Amino acid sequence: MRATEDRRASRRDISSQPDVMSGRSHRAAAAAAATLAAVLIGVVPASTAGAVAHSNGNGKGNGNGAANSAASNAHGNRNGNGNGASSSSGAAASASTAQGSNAGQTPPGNNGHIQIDELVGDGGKGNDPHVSCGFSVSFFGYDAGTQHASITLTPWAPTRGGTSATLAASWTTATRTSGSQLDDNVPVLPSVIASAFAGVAPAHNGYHVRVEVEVTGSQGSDDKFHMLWVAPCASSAANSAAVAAAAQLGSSASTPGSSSSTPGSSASTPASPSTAAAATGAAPAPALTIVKTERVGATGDFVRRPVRATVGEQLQYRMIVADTGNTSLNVTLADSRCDAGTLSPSGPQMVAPGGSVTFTCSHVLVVLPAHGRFVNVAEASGTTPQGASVGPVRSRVLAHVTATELRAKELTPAKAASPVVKAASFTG
Amino acid sequence: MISLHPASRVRSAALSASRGRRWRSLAILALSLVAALFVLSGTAYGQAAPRVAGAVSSLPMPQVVARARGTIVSLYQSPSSKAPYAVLRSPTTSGDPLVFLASSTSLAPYWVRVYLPMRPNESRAWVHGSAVDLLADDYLVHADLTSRRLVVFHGSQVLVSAPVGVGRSLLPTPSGTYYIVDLLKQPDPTGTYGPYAFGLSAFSDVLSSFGGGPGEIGLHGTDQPTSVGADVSHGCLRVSNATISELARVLPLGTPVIISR
Repeated sequence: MRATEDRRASRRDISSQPDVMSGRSHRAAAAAAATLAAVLIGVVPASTAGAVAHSNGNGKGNGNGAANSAASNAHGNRNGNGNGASSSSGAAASASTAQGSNAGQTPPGNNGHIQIDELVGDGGKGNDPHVSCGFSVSFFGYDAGTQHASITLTPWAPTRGGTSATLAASWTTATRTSGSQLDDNVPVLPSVIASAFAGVAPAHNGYHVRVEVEVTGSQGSDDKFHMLWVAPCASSAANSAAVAAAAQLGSSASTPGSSSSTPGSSASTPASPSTAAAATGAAPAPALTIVKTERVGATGDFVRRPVRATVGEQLQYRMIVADTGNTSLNVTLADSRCDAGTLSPSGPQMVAPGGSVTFTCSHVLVVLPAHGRFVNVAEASGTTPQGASVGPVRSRVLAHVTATELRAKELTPAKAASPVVKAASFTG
Repeated sequence: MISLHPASRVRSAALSASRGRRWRSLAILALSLVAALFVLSGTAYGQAAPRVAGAVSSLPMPQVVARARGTIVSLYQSPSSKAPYAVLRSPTTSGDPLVFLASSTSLAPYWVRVYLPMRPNESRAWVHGSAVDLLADDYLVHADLTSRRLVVFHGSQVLVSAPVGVGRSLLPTPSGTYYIVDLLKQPDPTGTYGPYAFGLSAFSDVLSSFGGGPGEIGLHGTDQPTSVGADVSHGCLRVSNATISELARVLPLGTPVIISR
């Protein structure tokens, strides 16, 4: 359920000050939420201070769960600007207007929290208030089942103008194991940023954007919003690289895992083999991103979210490395957990600005990993024609692995052999 | 898992042995050796394949037979291998379906490690689970080259305990873990091989070919009853015609044949 305009208006008064804010509707916990709403992206329906503090604990160490203005101040400090000390009354106003659900409930779709990361999610190491061109929204601890979310980007003062953009995402979680369980990581690609801020001049910190996230099926307010600064893209070529990456990630950047493809390698065709920097005379600004996805077996979608697998199964990986800078890069990919001989293409790959290269590899789970968690990190580095290095950038995926025991007693019994009439030629 | 715990098998065998004095002496001798070998292996039931008499042979516990589903089965060096290194066809040249004795089912049903019916002896490979059907096999054949005795187990019961002729000193029967690859009914039941001959996955270490064949070790009957229980063969295991007829009636393809000294 989307929050009312009144509710939003109230939030805007607050959210325009600090970089990170959140709101929730929760009558019984209104007082606590009034304090905490200003410091949290995550909203836990149980709505106890502890629950909220837990959610906050996924941030960058702001453990304030009670003091109101202190929380706001700490929040501002966390985000690295001086705007965090917005009035606690404002926070209270935000929370008090965001009512609608009952305390203690854990309504579906509103039982998790989000974090803003760079384009490559860090798996829950806190919000990134200043991100480079393109970022991602990580969803944690939502209820089991299929959740649908929308992500709305609204240009905000002092870079107001442009056009709001809304992305859709969905994911399915079989079991909710904890509040810190990573459900999905949705990329917001540079092309989306460029579209939203078309014609808008960036400020010193880049573009100021309000990110509002709504998870459908919630009871009460399910809005969570976040203010952040997004750096302008180094070149328009980055957009095409990101679009190419998105095309390989799925049918759209906002719906990871919604499409499948046959494992293999491919490289997108850049607009020009020459560097954009050389064409424009601009100084080389190398940059690259990597997005790693995985799937179990040879069919199905490649996804960012954790997958479930059994010992003996094969995990297939796809790593899309995009050149988001203005100069070509010789890209090298390292992934120590790819089975020998499965990484393709092998060796350094030249990628032009705006281009991307897709690596694939696989790994068969031959043993049960520690704690049943198999984490695989891919690392990409680049070198410009001038010899400058960029990176490494990393992307990780997780598989929850279980082992099965073959129950031979349940197998079909072997029957006595049927003799074949034939003269033997054994050693005798 | 199949009830083939070595210890229980031995206990049950000992109980059966009490029924007859002569039977007891023979059975205890053979089974004690088997039990001792399993104990010496130091491996736990169901955890790892126990070694027999220090030989490199191993016994999968429980025993699982992998039978080809289609006409080919691809062999992989490991589950991580990008491509197979060989392909075996089914049915085999004898006309029997291609079967394997499972060496490891730890990655089942996705992958199974199997013993191969080819040289070198006891070679193994990984096959994809989708290429085979897994079957439970309650039988096990143990041939002791020293005592020249063949003991066949069915679950925890001793089905057969009989003297066996083995390879002479210059043409020894190879020790190891093998399995039944095919069963041939002989056109002439009074001939050299008796009425039936099992082909094993073992091959002579001395003879690269024999009688037009590749030097494959067999378990068969004989037209020389007095040779049973002696070191007389070219490497094959030779039992009485009555024994081989009984075994041909019950043993499935893929049944493990443990040969130890």
